[in-house]
Formats: sequence, structure tokens, C-alpha cells
Amino acid sequence: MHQRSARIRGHLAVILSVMLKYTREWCLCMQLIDYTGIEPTSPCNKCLNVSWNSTPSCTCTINFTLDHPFESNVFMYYGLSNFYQNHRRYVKSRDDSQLNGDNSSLLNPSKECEPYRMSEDKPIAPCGAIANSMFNDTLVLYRIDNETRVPIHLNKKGIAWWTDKNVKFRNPSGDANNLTALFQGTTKPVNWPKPVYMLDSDPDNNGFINEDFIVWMRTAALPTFRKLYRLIERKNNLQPTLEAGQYSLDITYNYPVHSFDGRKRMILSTISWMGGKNPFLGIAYITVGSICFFLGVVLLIIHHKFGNRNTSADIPN
Amino acid sequence: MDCSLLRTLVNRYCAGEENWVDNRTIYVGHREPPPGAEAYIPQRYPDNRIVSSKYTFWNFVPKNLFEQFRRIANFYFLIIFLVQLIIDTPTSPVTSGLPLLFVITVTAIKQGYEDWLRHKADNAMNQCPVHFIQHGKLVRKQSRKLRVGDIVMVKEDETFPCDLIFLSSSRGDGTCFVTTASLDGESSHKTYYAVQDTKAFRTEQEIDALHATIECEQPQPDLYKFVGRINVYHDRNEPIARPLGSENLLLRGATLKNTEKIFGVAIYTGMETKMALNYQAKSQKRSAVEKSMNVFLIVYLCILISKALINTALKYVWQSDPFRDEPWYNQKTESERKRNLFLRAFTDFLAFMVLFNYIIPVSMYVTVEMQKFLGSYFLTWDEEMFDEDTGEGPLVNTSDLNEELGQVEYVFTDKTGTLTENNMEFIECCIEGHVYIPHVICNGQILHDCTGIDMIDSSPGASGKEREELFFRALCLCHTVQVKDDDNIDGLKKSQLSRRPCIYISSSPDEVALVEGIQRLGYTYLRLKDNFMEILNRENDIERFELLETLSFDSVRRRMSVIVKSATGDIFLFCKGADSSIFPRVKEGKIDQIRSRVERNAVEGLRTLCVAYKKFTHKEYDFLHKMLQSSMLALQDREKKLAEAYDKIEKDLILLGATAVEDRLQEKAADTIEALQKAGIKVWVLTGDKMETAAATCYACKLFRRNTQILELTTKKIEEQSLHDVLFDLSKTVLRHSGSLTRDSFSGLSADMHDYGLIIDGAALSLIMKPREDGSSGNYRELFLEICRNCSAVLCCRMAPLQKAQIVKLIKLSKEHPITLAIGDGANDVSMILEAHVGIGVIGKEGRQAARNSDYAIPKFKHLKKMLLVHGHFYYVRISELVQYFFYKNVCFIFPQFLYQFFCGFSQQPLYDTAYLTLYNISFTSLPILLYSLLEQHIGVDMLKREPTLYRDIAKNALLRWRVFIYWTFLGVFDAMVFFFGAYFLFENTSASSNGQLMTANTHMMFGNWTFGTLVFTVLVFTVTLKLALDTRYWTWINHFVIWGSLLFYIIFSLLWGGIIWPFLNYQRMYYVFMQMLSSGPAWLGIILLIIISLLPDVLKKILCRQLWPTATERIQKSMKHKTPLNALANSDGPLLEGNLSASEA
Repeated sequence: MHQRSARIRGHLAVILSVMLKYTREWCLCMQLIDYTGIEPTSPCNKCLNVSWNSTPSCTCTINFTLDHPFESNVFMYYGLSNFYQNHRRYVKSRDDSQLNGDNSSLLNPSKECEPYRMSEDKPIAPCGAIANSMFNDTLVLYRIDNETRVPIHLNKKGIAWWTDKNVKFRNPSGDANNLTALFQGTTKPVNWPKPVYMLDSDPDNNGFINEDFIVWMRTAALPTFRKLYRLIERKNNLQPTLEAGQYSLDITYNYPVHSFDGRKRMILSTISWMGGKNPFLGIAYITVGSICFFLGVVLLIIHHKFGNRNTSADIPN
Repeated sequence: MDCSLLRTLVNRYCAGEENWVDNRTIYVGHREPPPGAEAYIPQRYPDNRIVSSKYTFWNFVPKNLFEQFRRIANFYFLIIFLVQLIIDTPTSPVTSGLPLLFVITVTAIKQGYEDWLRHKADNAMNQCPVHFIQHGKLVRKQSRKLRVGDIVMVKEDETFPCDLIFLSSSRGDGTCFVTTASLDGESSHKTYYAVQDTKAFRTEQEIDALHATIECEQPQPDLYKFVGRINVYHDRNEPIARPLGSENLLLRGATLKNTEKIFGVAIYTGMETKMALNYQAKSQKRSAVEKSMNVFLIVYLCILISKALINTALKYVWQSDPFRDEPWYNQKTESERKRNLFLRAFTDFLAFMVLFNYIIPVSMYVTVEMQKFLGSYFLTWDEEMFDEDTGEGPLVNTSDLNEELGQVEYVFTDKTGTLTENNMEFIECCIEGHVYIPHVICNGQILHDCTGIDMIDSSPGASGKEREELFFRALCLCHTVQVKDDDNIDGLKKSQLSRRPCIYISSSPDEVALVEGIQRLGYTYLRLKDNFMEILNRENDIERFELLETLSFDSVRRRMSVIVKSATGDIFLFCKGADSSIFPRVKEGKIDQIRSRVERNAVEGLRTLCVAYKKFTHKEYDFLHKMLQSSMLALQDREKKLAEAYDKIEKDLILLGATAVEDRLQEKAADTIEALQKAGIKVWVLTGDKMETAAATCYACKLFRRNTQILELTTKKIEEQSLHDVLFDLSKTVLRHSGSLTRDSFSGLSADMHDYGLIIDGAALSLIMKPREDGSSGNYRELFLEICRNCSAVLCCRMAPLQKAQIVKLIKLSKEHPITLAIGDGANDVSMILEAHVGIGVIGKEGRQAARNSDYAIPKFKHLKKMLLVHGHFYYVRISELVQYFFYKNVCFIFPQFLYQFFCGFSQQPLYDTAYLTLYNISFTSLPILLYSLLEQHIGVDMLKREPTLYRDIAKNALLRWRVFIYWTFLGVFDAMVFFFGAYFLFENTSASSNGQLMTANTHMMFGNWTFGTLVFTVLVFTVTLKLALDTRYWTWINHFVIWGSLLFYIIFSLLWGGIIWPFLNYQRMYYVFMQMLSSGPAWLGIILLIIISLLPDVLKKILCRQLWPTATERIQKSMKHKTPLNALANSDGPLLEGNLSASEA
């Protein structure tokens, strides 16, 4: 029974891995730009030591080339490394009921938010270390078409979980068009240049339901992580979303990572039904599949060589 | 109960010297004695309330909690819980508080329910109405209001409300009949005697007029011992003192039978009654499994502490860089910064402890307890172990030792009633060398005995004739048998003789057999009436003998006597007893002939008794009578004084003859012993019987086989040589072969191996056990043990009850610490039953004392085979898997959390959500293992019975050895690594080399740390449950239901838990996490992959071990699988095909 199950599992794994490999064939699209600016040659080197409140903001531009066209929808991520979003003190430093639009929590945030709870005797909205350290670089992508820079439309909606945006995160109740009034009596997080009700001009993407904010609030599992920044949607079937060619990335460099040895990256990637390009699964399936297959064969041999001897050598009564 | 006990204690020890009394004086009916009577100290007695309950309504909560937290595991979790409450810990107090609360509540409910039942029983008992006499009138009162000194009336079929001195009965002879079934289980009727001076009282008024005091000892628990004295005052005369013994004491809990009503005076009430004093719990026995469980627990505690220490140390190393300790995005609060470094480190250590505390499974103890409690029902439900004849099934008195039944290495068995039926049949008697066989004579024919010398001589001459008649009369008179003319009495034995339907009842079946045998030889014992014994002799005349004294049987003297006065006025003493105790006291008679006959009978396995007599003159008798009376009246050392008196009386006897009674072997006794020996269990027979009789039984039940070389270590041999020489000789003989022997005996299959049987008797044993002056006592013991170890069977005969326990203890404490089992049926086996690791009582004829004191009771010896080989095997396999699995699943659970600390800056961030932490052990993974541990049958019942050798596979705690434990732990660690790093590689995206060639990604919907934890947890729950499913060999619908049900429950719970914004939670971190995870393809594929990888090594190990180094168990499992289809085919297609098939199979 055991041999058979092992063998079946082996076959199954091989089939699955081939499937995975196959579906990947037309999606090998991934571009990664490190724009931390550690290397002196990097255009962003000048911004390496920015602080939170440096005005005017430091900007830099990085040019890169796409070798292959990106056929389907493209996802634009920012990635940080050596950033411990999963530190316990950090993870719990938030107030979910404040973010859910609870008016009493808005003015009296949870103790967990300390030391980012009150600022100048006013409650911080949104309170806590997570919100306070929200990623605030601005990335803009251009395609260089015959020496001209054509901006690529980056969609900032649809990057957060639908349930987060519509259920878990809510602005304080009241007139949705006048967020300033709703957040009366609160103050902005210390590190933010502007208050939460000025994150976006679109009222549907402002305040607590700003999607960049929601994405940031979902704390990453590991110290190196990436978060979805923008979507680039395919316009029609004739043209790939991103053609092969020259591109340039404009960065408004606000977020300091050098102090903790961090790195910042911009990633462009497409996605299949299997999720992003993740060779781990495919490789793992192939490996496990072959191991199972191999073991199945070995055990079959053992079974034939030793099995009969054992059954014939029955226990004497 | 506490109160009264305390009071007694205070009375006893604190009241000072002058108040300390070991006698109590009771005024019958609360009447003061006339002035001038002995001064005495008034005592306070408890009322007649029985309190068997442990708690009251008020103290239940504190007392129960206190009792529960005395258990190490509960206390540990309480500490963890308190730590969580006090300091800032990663998990909320709920995570450990809730399981603890669950465990405590379940236990408290169970104990509370049991206590409620006890309360109810107590109340019913305390409130039941009792009749007692007040001012000459009958009054009804509640039982609990009874006080010492009250005169009570009890009617037929009522139970006695307290311990009473029997004053008078409605029966003319001042006797009454009582069954003590609820006390010691003996259902036979016992006769009790009223006090001589009061037995004539009939009415309430008469009784009320009684003026007497009773002096007696303070309450003590022995049911069969009582000494006291009653002083009856008649007007102004000197009081008449009468001795009181246990035959005058009616015990609480016993029931009055066959007597219309009796009067008695209460002397011990409430918690001081003998029944209540016997409530005391037996000492706790703990099983080997439990011991190894505790050792494993300590190992895990060490692992836990070292984990916490490692993490704390690493945390401070890692934090030494300030940008790691406090990066700009994650500042500490003021108070945190100010805290003392050592205090911080200690808090961190505690926090890590709390984070990893689940590695010690909180629910394991509860599960183990439930498993044992419920599992023991399988034993009681077993229909094969139900005995049709007696209508009794097995009884489980403790479920703590279930698995110990699978570990037994030594079985100590009693002979009579255990190996044999204890159903005696009179075979023959030998009078002065002439042998009489009852049925032969009954048929009116006289047959020659085959051996020639022991001829039946029909006319042995005048003196012979006289002796013969004396012999028969002796047997008719010298006994304690009662006659019942009532048919509907249990425990009866109907006489086959049609002459008169007499039913003889006795606590000793030998006596019944003898009296019945004599009946067939022509002498019928009719009854005991007014102290006259009536005998119907051969000529159908009734002879009357006045019974003067009864010198009752005890196991030290090994004989009993009666002194009777015949119609002619002659006074005789008739004595019957074991040959060893009679022969030294005989001065004349045909000793040699009788001795040879007795020995011959003993060799044939018959139980022999010798009968002797003595004639007294009236003068002699008066002297004896006085001597007996004075020792009987003694309040102190009565036993000793009586024994001395008996010793003086029973000497210079004249030997009459001997009897032989056969005790047949129990059915399948030989089969059972053979199976036990094949299973690698050493069987020792411990008996009080003679060596020859016992040895014959041992041959009959195949304990000794024909090729067994018998070694003797008996008094006879020791007389010839010194003990030292005998022991060394024996050990030399034994050890010469031991080299080749041990190997054989382990395979246990070689039929022609040289095996030894040892016979030792009580005297030789006490010589061995006796510490010598020079203090080198251990020497002989070691040598003796060495010899025993090399013998396949040992027979210990002539053992006193305490010696039986001594032997068990000797083996129990020998250096291998083997697990011992003692089985017996009589009161003389109780000490060894209590001493052995597992005590088994056979529900037999000699009362229920053994069954009551045992851990398990079975109706017949043959049931021992199934009990050990099947139930014990199953219990052991089940519980060991349960224990190992529990540790395994908690390693799987906690180790990823430990690994996660390396990736979250050692910040004690929990990997799993609180709900998962809490419910993992309570609901997601608890039921499948419980059901597995109840139902698993890794091999069929029939196979286990057919192959006793399989028992050797689990001997010596084989499934809980360190190797196995370490394997499970490493399997757990491996699985945990697979879960964690599998998830890590799914999530991680740094393996980026700069060219971005090898990159990883997850779905575009970003997954956070909670999704990561949920993924690991999902893989964990599935792996752990499927691992159990792979181990399960015996599937019932319950297993299916529970295994798939708990997986389904996990999914449903997760969907629910993440599906709603829970208003009572201050965080919503799990909101939609599970659903988002399930909506992503890679997560699905990843989960399946990780489950496969983590299950693979265990499956692989099993297959390899099974193929290359199969154990006997696995070989059987395999052959079973091959055989079943083969047999099915063969049956349908005939023998030809079978041959073909087996040929092709080979």
C-alpha cells in the first residue's frame, strides 16, 4: 500500500511540475531595479542620506531596458529589504478599530500604538509605528520612444484586498466628501509630510481607504519583502502591455533605508494563474516528483527481492 | 469526614495522656451503670453520618482547584498563565488560559459529578429510616441520628445501619444469618451469635430494661477482628462479664437474612464503622508508560528552557547594533528604554517561554486520562471474557494500569481457585491404611485398589471398625459447615444424595466436599441445633453431640479442632489439618502407612487432610475450658493468647486417617500458561499447598513439561546440605547451559531446549530472605534471583500470604525492574495482588476479597490470556502511539515558531494567530488521536491470540524507548523545518541575484505575516492529521468521521474566523486571510507539496524497515494481507488453483 501510494504520488508530482513549467513558458517577464543608490555610480547615490523632512525632495532617474515585451497585465512593486515589518513591537503597533472608522478610537487610540499614539497632545490618526513609517517614495515610469519620454499610465486602484478596502478599513463616519472635518481633532503621524486626509485627491482613495496605505498596513512576513505599488493594464490585444525597449524610472526619493542597511527596489512582473514567477514551486515539484518516482522504483525492486522471502518464511506456529 | 477524623485524631493525640484510651465503654441504651462500677472516661463519638464525598457545596471550588493544581502539568500551565497576565508577552493570556480552563473544567465536572453521586448515595444512606428503642417503645428515625449506645432493631433483608453488638434475635437459638456481600463479596450466609445473657429477650420492653455496659477496642478496619466484653448488671449483683468476638458483631453494610428481626446495640457509628474505615483508597500504582511519559516531559521542559535561553541570548547579540534594536521606524517607548537590562532580559526569557510553552502538550494528560477511562470499557464489554456460568464479566477497578497489561514479564499465580477450579470432590479416605472410595461403596460394591497394598478391607476387625466409625464421626463433626434447608440461597451446593436434600454452605469448599463425601459413605451431618450437632449414621439413627468448643482454622496453624461431648458423656477432640501440622502432634496411630498414602495422593495432585482425635476426661476438659475462656476474654493480645491455648490443647493426638480431595484444573489453564510462556512471560506458581500436590498441578497445566529438569530448593534438601552449597550447586547447573540457553529462550521456539523448573518452599525462602548476622544478606538473594532468572518456571509451595508478597517484591525490585502481575482469588492472595505492578483477582468461590483489592478482576484464569495478549497489547500500542504522537505534533507546532524568531529579530512575534494557538491542541488535533488510541488494532484480535510471540515485540517498553522517542522528535523537527522553510521559499523574494534571473514572487495580492502563519498552520494541521491517518491500520467509520471531520472543522473554523469583523476583538488581523490564501494557486500547490514532503520520510522509513528488517508484528501483518485474498480464491476454485497460486507467489 505504501509503495503504491508513493509511486502514485511520484507520478502526480511529475505531471504537476510539467504543467507548471508549461504554463510558465509564456510568462518569464520580470524586471528588477535596485534604486537604493549604494553604488557611487548609481544616479540615486545623491539621495542616499535623505531624511524624512528634506525639502525639496530628492529626485533621481534610472534608465533601463526591457529585453522581452510584457504581454499581459504588469504589476509594479516596490521592495524593501532588511526592514523588520514583522517585529513584534511593530506588528502590534496599530489600532484596527481606529482604521475601521470607529470614532471613539479615532480620538482615543489604543495603547498598543505607543509611542506613536499622541503627538502634541493630539491623537495621531492613523496611530502606531506601521502607519508612521509608511513608504512614501513616488515612482513614475516612462517609455523612451524615439528620445521622447512617454508616461505610462499607472493604476493606483485595485492593489489592495477588496475586503480590506471595503470592510476592514473605513474612514470615520460622516460626510465622505469632507474628510478634513472627519479627522478634526487628530494630528498626522510624526513622519508624514501631510495628514491622512490628503493622501490622494480622489475621495474614494483617501484617508484610511487609501490603497497604498492599506497595502503598507498589511505587515510583511519576512524582513525582505515587496509590496504592490501600481498596476499597468493591457490596453488591447494587439499590443503588449510593455513593449521591449528603453524605459526610465523617475523616483522621488523620500524613504531612508541606509540607516538600517536596507535596500529599495522597483519590480515589474506579470502573473499567470499560478501567481507570479516563482520557480521554487516548479523546481520543488520536479524534485519531489522525481524522488518519489525513483523511490517507487527502488522499493519495487526491494519488494520483489526481499518481499517473497519474507512471506514464504512464515511465522511457525 | 475531615471533621470527625480530625476530632478522633485530636482525641487520640492531643488530649493528653490520661485521656488517651484504647478501649471504649458504652452504656447500652444510655443507662448509667450502678455506682461503684469501674470509672471510665466519657468519650465523644461521631454521629452515624457516612461521608464518602470529598467536597461540600462551599469548598468544592477551592478544594478541587487546589487538588488539580497539585499536578505538575496543571501547575506549569497556571504559572505560564500568570506570567502572561503579569508581563507583556507575545500571546494573550487567553491562549494558555482557555485550554487550562478547559482541562480544569472537564476534570472538575467529572469529579464534581462523581462527588454528587457520592453525596446522593450518602444522603440516601444517612436518611434511610432506622427503628430503635426509646423508653421501651419503637421509634423511627433517620439513620444519621443514631448514636453510640442506642438499641436498634433490624428486620429481615434490611442492612445494618452501624456496627452493632448482637443482643437478641427472633430465632430461638439466638443466632441470625447475615450476608456480607456488599462488604467482602462473600454471598454465603454467615451465622452470628447473640450475647448469651440477652438472647432470651424478645420484646422492646425487655430489651429496654437491659442494664449493661460494653467495653471494646477502638474502631479498627479489620473486618474479621473484634474483641470486647459485655458486663450485664442484674439488680445489685456483681456484673456478669461475657466475651464478645467478631461473631457477636454485626457490621454495617451487611444484610440480615432468614431471621425475622434482631436487636443490637450500636457501638461504632458513622465514619468509625468498619465499613467506613475500609473506604481508604489503595496506594496509587503508576504504570511504566506514565513514568516514561514524565521523563519525556522533563526532556521537553529542558528543550523548552534551552530554546528560550538560546533565543534570549541571540536577541541581545542581534540587538547590539542600535539600528537593529531601535530603527527609526520602530521606536521604543520611554518606559521600555529605561528598564533595567537584566530585568528586560528576564522578561524576554519569560516571553520566549510563553511563546514556546505549547511544546508541552496541555491536553496530553486529559487525553491520556480519557483514553484510559474510556478504553477500560473495552475490557468490560468483551463478550469472550464474560463467564456464562457465574454471569460475571471482567471488572476494572482502576484504569490507570491498562497499558501495563501489555508489559507483563512475570506472572505470579495462585494455585487453588486460580489454576484450579476450587470445585472440590471427595476422592477417597484412608483409615489406618485402608482406603475407602465413596462412590464404590455407594454402589454397594467393593473394589480393590490397583496398587495392592491399600486394600479396602470390609472387615478391619473390631478395633478397626471402631476407628473407622470414629473417623467418619470426626469428619462429620470437625468443620464449620452450615446446613441450609432453604433452597433460594446463592453460593449453595446441593447434595446429590436423595436421602435428604441438605445444602451445605461453608467458606471453604474442602469442608463441603468432605462432608458430602462422608454423606456418601453413610454418615450425614444434619444440623447444629442448640449447640448440639446431629448426625444421621449408617443405621439411620440420629446421634447427638454437644459442641463444646470450636478451635477455628487459621492459616498459621493450618488445622482446626472441635471438642464435642457424645451422648454417652465422652469428651472428644477431633482435629483435622494439613499433614505437616498434624504429624508432629500425633503420638500414636499408623503413621507410616498413612503418610505413604498421603504422599502418594499428593503426587497425584490431590489435596490431603489428616484427621486425628483425642479423648479428654471431664477434669481435663474443665481445665481446658478455663484456659480458653480466660484467653478469649482478654482484651489485649487475644490472638496470641488463643494461639498459645490452642497449641497446648492440640497435642498428643491419635491419628485416624487421611482424606483426599480433588481440585480439578480450570478449563484451558494449560493452554493459557503455554501461551503466556510463549509470549515470553515467566509464570510462577505461589501456593500454600504441599509440594507434591502443587508439582502435580504444575505438570498438569504444562508449567513443567516432561523434559523440564526440576531443581529443588526445599527444606529437606537444605537439611542435607547447607543452604550455601545448595544454592551454589543449583546456580552451577543452571549457568552451565545459560550461554546456549538465553539465545534460544529469546526466540522461544526451540522445543528441545534445556529448560529448568525450580521448586522452592516457604521455609527455604525465608532462609534466603533472612538477613544474616554479617549483613551479607544480599548475596543469597542475588544468587537465588540468578537461578530464578534462568528457570522457565518456578513453583513456590508452602507459602504464607506475606511470603507471596515478599517474592513478588523481590522480583519487582531486582535489577531489571520487571513488570510483575499477580493473580489470585482468595484472601491469602491479597497481599501479593497489592504488591505486584498489576494485581488481578479471579472472581472465585473464596469470596471477593481478592477481586475487591485487585486492579482488574476476571471470572476465570483462562481470560488472562486474552487480557494480556490482546487487550494489554492493544492498550500498550495505543497509549505509546498516543504519547509519542502528542510530543510529535507539538514539536511540529512550536518549532516553526522557534525558527520564525530568527527572521523577526527575536522579537517573540508569534507565527500563528491566537485562535490557532489556543485551539490547536483542544480541537483541531485532539479527537483523531483520542479515537485512534481507543480503537486502533494494528493486528487482528485472532492473530494476537494465535501468536503469543507477538507479545515479545512490545516487551520492555519497546515502543517508548529513547530511540523511538528521538525518532519521533526528529521527525517532528524535520516536518517543522519543511513547513517553515517551505513557506519561507514560497514567500521569500530575495534570492535575487543582481541580474534578476532567479527570482521569486508571490501573487500580486500581497500576503502578510499572518497569511504566512496561516499557511504554515494549514500544512501543519493537515500533515499531523494525515500522519495519524497513515498510522491507522484499523479504520472504522468513527475514525473516518473524526479524521476528516477535524480537517473539515479546521477549514470551516478558519473561514468563519476570518470571515467576520469580530466586534469583541481589538485587532482584525485574521480578516479574510484564510480565504485570500485559498484563492491563490501557488498557496494550494505549496500546501500540497509541503504535506507530501513532510510525510515522505516517515512513509519511506516504514517501507524500508518493513521490507528489510521486519518485526514479527509486521511479518504477520504482511502475511495476513497476502493470505486473505489467496484463501478466498482457494476456497472458490479448489485446491488445484491454490497450488498454482502459491507456486507463482513463491
